[in-house]
Amino acid sequence: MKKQISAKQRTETPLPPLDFAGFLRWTWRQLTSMNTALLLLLLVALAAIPGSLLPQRTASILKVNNWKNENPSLAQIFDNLSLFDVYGSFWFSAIYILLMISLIGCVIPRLKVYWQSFNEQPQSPPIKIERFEGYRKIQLTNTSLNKIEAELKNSGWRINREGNGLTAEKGYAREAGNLVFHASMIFLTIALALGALFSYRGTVIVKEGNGFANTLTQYDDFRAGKLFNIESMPNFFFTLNDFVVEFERSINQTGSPRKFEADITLNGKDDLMVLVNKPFNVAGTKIYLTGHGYAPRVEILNQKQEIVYSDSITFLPQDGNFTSTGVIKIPDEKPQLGIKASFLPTANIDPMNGPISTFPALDNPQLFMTLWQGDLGVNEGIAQSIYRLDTTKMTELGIEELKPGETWKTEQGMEIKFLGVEQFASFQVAYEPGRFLALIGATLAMLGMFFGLGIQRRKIWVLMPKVQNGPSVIEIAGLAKSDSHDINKDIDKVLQKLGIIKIEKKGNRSI
Amino acid sequence: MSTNSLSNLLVYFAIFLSAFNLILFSITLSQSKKQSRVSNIAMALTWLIGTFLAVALILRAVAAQRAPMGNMYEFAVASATAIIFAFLFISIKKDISWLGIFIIVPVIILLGLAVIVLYTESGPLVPALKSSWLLIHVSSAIISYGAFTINFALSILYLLRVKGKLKSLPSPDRIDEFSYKVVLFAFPIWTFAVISGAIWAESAWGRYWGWDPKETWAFITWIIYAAYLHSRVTVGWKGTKAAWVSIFGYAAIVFNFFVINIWVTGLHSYAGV
Ligand code: HEM
Repeated sequence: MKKQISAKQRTETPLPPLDFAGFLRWTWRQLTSMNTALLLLLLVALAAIPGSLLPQRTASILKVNNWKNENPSLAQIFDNLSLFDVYGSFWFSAIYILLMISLIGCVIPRLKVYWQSFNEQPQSPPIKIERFEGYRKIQLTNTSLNKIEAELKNSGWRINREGNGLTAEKGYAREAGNLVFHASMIFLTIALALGALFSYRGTVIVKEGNGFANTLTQYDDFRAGKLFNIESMPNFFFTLNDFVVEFERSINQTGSPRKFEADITLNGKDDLMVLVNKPFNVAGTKIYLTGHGYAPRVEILNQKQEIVYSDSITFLPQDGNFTSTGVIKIPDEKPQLGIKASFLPTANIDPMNGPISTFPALDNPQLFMTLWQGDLGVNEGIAQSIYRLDTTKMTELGIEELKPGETWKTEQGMEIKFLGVEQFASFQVAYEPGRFLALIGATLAMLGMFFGLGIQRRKIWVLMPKVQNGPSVIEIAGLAKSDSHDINKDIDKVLQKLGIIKIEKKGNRSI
Repeated sequence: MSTNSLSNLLVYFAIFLSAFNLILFSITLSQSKKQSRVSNIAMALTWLIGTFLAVALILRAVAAQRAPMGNMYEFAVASATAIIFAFLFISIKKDISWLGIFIIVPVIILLGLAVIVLYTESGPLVPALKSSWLLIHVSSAIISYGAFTINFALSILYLLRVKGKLKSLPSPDRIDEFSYKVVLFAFPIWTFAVISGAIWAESAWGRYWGWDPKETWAFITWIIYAAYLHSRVTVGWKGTKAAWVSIFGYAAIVFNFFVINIWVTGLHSYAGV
């Protein structure tokens, strides 16, 4: 099939004029056109996709590193394209900033037009209205145009009366709603940006009986916006007195968490219960309970029967049944010692995968350890993860599994005691100053949309030609600006209010 | 019989009736308008299917002592119910039995997947889901999914009608208009679902927006339907291109529900398949 290009389509994108000012004006008009807005919207949607499929630094650096290790050939290219930080990348920002400019360029002129429309009368009715939607010709007995005008005015129509005819217009709130909506999109974006610049967020793991003070050094992970001032961090500390967790025991959804609660004391005086959905608030900073895990307590004696280690270690849960892994490092022994361990709260032997945990509670806790000796590599000045043991310069001394209370006497004469298990809870500390503004923006957007989409701009014309004898006749028709609206409904309503009988009716729709 | 197995049984009945209704609706499609008896029976049957599903959800809620929206199975059944009722509510005012077949097919697929792949015994919620925002957030999402499904069916029909197929159906322009009206209803509710989700995320995880995969796809869906609304008033986009935009919007919903929930892990992946 041959495509025909209509004159209208051809004039849609005129060529840019050659002088500079003209070119600028042309660019601006293109940027703020509806077509561009539409394309930019689709582009934002497209640009958001990779960040949902690839691990993101903002969510988990660990996952990003794992991904990079598994795909070494792509890692560098992807990193250069900011694909692990899509939502902070230059190209994502560029798209939404363009969209914002387009939005501002769209809203401001329309605001002006809208403002002027308040002082303008609706246009006079066309001479022939029978071509329009809902056209009817009605015989009247006792109605005058004055009566119709009064009735329309009563129902909120804005009226322009000209001799034998009138135009009534309604639905100005649509444009107002639309403008409020688009303006609040700008507002919301600014709120999000402010939030990102001034906020901070950190995570911290606290063992039962231990505490946390809100200083930078105590965080396991800390991120702040570019304009956040570290000195303004509020002072507070809390201790985790007790952590309670319960899991589903029936066959149905077995192992799913049913309850977890942290009992804490804030600033040494206030006792609080923190639940998953119930953060506590200190000077605008909110503290959330986000997770938990086990911390086995271990004591290690060297060959000379000196205690070289005695502490509980946080183990990172690896699955829903809390198969957890952890590491102990003893850099002060010569040669240095290290232990790689897994902790299983309910240990069972799987024929395929070896020992795994089959339930998240402490039903049959066991600690599986591998003892290493040699060089931990901690003295090279590079910060090392406390959850990783680099065994490249170490030799394995032995493997053992222990239940709480048991002791492993190694061939070398060392003693490793598994004293018991404690719990830890992880907390997220978040300060997000933009959130209230964002909520206002979102609420206004909702409200604007309600009017912008729910109300229709429409007009009705009424003509009442003078007749010499016989009953007088009115003609009535209307026009809705958007095609989702049926103007017949308005005309029916008006006629009904006037108590007029309908005689002619055209163009009723079934869907 | 336990309330739970009664609920399951009702879902099976609903699938069975839907399959039967598929036949009835396809008959109405090929018939002229006057022979509306079959279409009346099909519509009555659709009410029955809707009732079965609604009761199944209520029983599930009774069994678990909570809103029936805690895992993917319940979410799928609730979405199917929403699709049926969106269709039924429109049908009170307008004769849309010609749309029936295109509504029943997604319902059968959704319910089929629910009972075969997604089935989960009813049980209490994981702590992160225990919040009154669950009901608000999830139910608004489900209601808009129901309406968006209708819009999707209409967009496909529009494309077929423009190509000159299915001549017994309303004209492309009318389908287009109708499909727009459905988005006018669904889009604000979807907007509300996203906002209430952000409020909930703030109260559970300490951030209202974290570009979690699930959130990202909710955003993508929202943006695509906003583009759809724009395409309706842009020269050269109205009609076929607009229909394609709304189809992409629906693809984003389906992707979010099946792919993101099942394969991609994020904070939201407690869905309990
Ligand atoms: C962040 C970018 C944008 C978003 C999220 C957005 C979203 C929306 C939404 C949801 C609507 C329907 C709600 C209502 O009418 O109140 C709408 C309508 C509209 N938008 Fe936008 N918009 C954006 C940018 C723009 C831009 C840049 C323009 C100008 C070129 C524009 C012009 C319009 C117009 C004229 C309508 C009315 C359509 C109608 O009457 O149905 N929008 N937009």
